Amino acid sequence: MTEAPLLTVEGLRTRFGGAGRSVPAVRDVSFSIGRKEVLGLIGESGSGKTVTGLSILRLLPDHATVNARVLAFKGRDLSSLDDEAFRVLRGVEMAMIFQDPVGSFNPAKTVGWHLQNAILRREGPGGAASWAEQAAAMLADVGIRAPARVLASYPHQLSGGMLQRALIAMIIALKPSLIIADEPTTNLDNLVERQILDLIRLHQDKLGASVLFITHDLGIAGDICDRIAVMYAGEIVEIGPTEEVLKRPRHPYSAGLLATSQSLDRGDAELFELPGEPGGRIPEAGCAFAARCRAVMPKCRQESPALVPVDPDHQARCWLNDR
Amino acid sequence: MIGALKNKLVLFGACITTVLVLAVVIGPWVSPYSATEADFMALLAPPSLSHPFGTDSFGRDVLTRILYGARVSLVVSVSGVLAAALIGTAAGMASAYFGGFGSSVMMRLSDLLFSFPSFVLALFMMVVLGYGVANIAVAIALIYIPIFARLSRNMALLVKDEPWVQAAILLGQPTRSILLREILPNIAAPIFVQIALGIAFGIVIEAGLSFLGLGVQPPAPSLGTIMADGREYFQRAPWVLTLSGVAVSIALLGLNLLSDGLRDVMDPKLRARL
Repeated sequence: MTEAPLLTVEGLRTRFGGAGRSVPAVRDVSFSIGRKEVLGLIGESGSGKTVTGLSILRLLPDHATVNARVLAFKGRDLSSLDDEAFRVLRGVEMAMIFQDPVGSFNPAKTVGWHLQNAILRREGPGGAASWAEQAAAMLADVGIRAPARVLASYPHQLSGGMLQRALIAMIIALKPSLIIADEPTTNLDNLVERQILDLIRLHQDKLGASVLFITHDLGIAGDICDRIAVMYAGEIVEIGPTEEVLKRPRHPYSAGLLATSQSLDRGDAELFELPGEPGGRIPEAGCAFAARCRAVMPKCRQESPALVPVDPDHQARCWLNDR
Repeated sequence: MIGALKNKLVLFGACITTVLVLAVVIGPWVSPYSATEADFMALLAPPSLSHPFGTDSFGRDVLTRILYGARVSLVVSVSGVLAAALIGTAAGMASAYFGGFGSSVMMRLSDLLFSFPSFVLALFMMVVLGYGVANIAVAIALIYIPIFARLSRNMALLVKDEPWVQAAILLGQPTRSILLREILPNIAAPIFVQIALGIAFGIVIEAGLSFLGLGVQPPAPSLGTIMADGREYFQRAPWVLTLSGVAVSIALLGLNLLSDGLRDVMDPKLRARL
């Protein structure tokens, strides 16, 4: 890596619940995102990908405890900032696209009101006079044909795709350096999904922003991401360049995910399925995936593997790579 | 606002309420009679053209007394309920948003107030606070604060974890603005409905307390004192009690219809259909 990464996360741990009976959601996650890079965070439901995003943004409820060895953004240590200083940074420097575009808008306010807030947040009171023109231009930028009408609309009057576009317009207004996109297309149909992904990619490039793209869909991740990190049971089990991970997965879990996705794309009559279910209790010792792994060895149940380089820039957490 | 009048309930309720409010505000000026001066030439006169609602045992015009009395009832009830709405909603929202020990204490206190039937609570307040018009408003406010606090707390609890509130926090909005601009508009509808209902019930509380002699003191008119007077002469002059009771019923009907209609109209998801 030639220049310093935008965001560095090392040893991130998040637990839910009070002392005594707390449950780990994120266990020792480390990654970094370079400038203008799109990092995909992939995993099944409950693997900790959303919690990772929320932990970075400090948006978790009070009963969650977040610890990290290093949490650095643009070279600044985030954990040393108090809530007030972090509030100033969040929003302008880091924005988030939520899974549910409809729920992301206050139902009692118009879309224009939301955009106005975003513009004022970025530009201060100076942006007050021209906000309507700016907002209309931003909506046009994200492919909305009747900006004036959309600005005056309430969220329930618009479709999910329209709202997701409007949300991206808000992100454009904020001009953040880091966008955390949490399954931004899950609730949309395939056609709109494609358009939204193109929009995110286009504006990410224009803004020069980095993206942490959270998804469970390997196909989408393959299209949009520069690098991919696969999460299982709160850990990163494999991280590397998109091509590498998708062509030569070095962890049985990534390989399994890939096989399910390819099986779906081929239209197999009988879809490939990863045995077992995610979640459940994480074993005291050994690899968390051992119970579902096809290539499980006696060693897997005794010692947990570490995340080790298998290629330059490519790391995996599996004893299979140890040979 | 004009759109809201297309709702039949709102239209009907608003008509009744407006007519009553206008009558109460203007009526006492128009009426040729005094509310308190006795006229011994017309004791217990039945309804006629010169006294549409008849006269009471002191020969006072019942309609005039109802208009004056309703004025007192309305002012007492509205001010009590509005004060309760303001304090209760603020407390409920703060309790929902910040949570913690203070919130628990506040909610247990409101449970305590809830456990009394509201009229018993009102009687108790009057005994503690002393008789008088202003104290009725305070009693009504104290009865309604826990109701508004609980209502707004429950609604705010539902709303505060919505993604748009998270998005607003993410945008770095200060807490005050999140409470006032993100949460309050989305819980306002049931609060307005509760205000309309509360005013109706506040009128009943005021009438009840005055009827028992704990509120407005005779000879000053109030819906309650008029009815108390009317009860004594009910066999000789049934119109005093009956017509003042009808006036209260119509006022309650109007406010109830209005609050029902408001509930339909103020749901933002239904607004587009109007």
